[in-house]
Amino acid sequence: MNQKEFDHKLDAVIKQALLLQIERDIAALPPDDEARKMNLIRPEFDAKMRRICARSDRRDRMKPVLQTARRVAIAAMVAIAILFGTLMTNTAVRATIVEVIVEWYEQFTRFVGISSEEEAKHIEARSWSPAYLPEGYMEVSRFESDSTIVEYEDHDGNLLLLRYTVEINDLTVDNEETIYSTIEVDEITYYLSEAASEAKPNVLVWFEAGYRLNLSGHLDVDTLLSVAVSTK
Amino acid sequence: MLSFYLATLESDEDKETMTKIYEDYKNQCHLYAWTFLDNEGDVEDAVHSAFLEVIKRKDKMFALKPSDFKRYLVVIVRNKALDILRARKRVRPYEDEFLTFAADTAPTMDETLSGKELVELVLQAMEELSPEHKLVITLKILEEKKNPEIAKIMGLSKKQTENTLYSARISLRKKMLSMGVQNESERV
Repeated sequence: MNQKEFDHKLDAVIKQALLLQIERDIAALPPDDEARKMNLIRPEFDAKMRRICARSDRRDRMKPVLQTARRVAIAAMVAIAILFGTLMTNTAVRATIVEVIVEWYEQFTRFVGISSEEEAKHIEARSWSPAYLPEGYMEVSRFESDSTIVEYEDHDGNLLLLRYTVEINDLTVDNEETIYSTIEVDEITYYLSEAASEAKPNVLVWFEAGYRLNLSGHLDVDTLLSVAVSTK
Repeated sequence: MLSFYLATLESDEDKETMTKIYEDYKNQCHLYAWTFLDNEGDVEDAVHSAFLEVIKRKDKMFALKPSDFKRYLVVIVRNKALDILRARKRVRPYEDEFLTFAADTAPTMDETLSGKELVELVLQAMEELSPEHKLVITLKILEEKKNPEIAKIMGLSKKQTENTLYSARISLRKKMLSMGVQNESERV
């Protein structure tokens, strides 16, 4: 059986296992009248929760509204700037089907891929692989779902992850403690999130042939870029 | 606490139903949360979040048979408790310990093990997963939620959610392999 079939079968077994666990948990619970005698609930809990929840409920409702408004405002500003720049350098505009708007957040750098739904349907399905890998690295697994995730590992257990998708999805890259920049190679722009500490991986994001690709690993920038540029 | 829940409901009928639900299940929910958590504050947080979730899903939940409702409620309390555990110890994706593979004579999913034995094996392997992995697998496979919804529940980005789910599956698969089960195609 191939890996996909194995995963589907495993999912079915996992679901059965979880259902069985829940049934066992329910059977193990004492009846309500016995649970009541245990006096588990503090009388103060009701009053305290009423006060805390009444305040936080209003704040929580406002938070998503404010975040959305901020995102829309930033995206609009950046979109206008990009379009203006594009008009001013008309000869530099590439005929691609994907335009990228980069949004800055307090914590995340977000790439919103905007492509025509109709044009996206005509994107040729393909597998991507790097022609160049640093010494010792080899592919150890490939997971296909809404997007494809390919894992490469070297002898020391260091991981390199390649992820790609043709869907019109958002990609969020953690830019806390990272240095953000762009690199142009062969008319392709690579968006680099360079980690400020060794604990975080370096991440490259780029758009090619209607796909969005993401490469992350604890490699120096030059090596990571070499892997990305060789990925076809 | 009950009056807070009632205030978020609209009709008197809904409020009556929610009152009954709260009174019928509050003690068992507390008891169940205690099986995952080890302090009163976390237990109260889990139970509180669970009843809020019931109100959010009231259209679906109020229409359930009592046995199905209880099952759903138990799953909700479990997920809230796992979420609290997960928040306590932030497990980063990719930083899971990979176990060694079993011998090449191990039984496969197609032979030797009966369905029941396989389910028990999976249950055992799942017990060893981190709270984050348990939660993401429960949300994805048992509750059949889409990735964006899971991302929202767990407070992760979409990319982090996909990676967490990916590493959870890998971790589970490798724990099962260490217990002696492998995919036929992986047999050496």
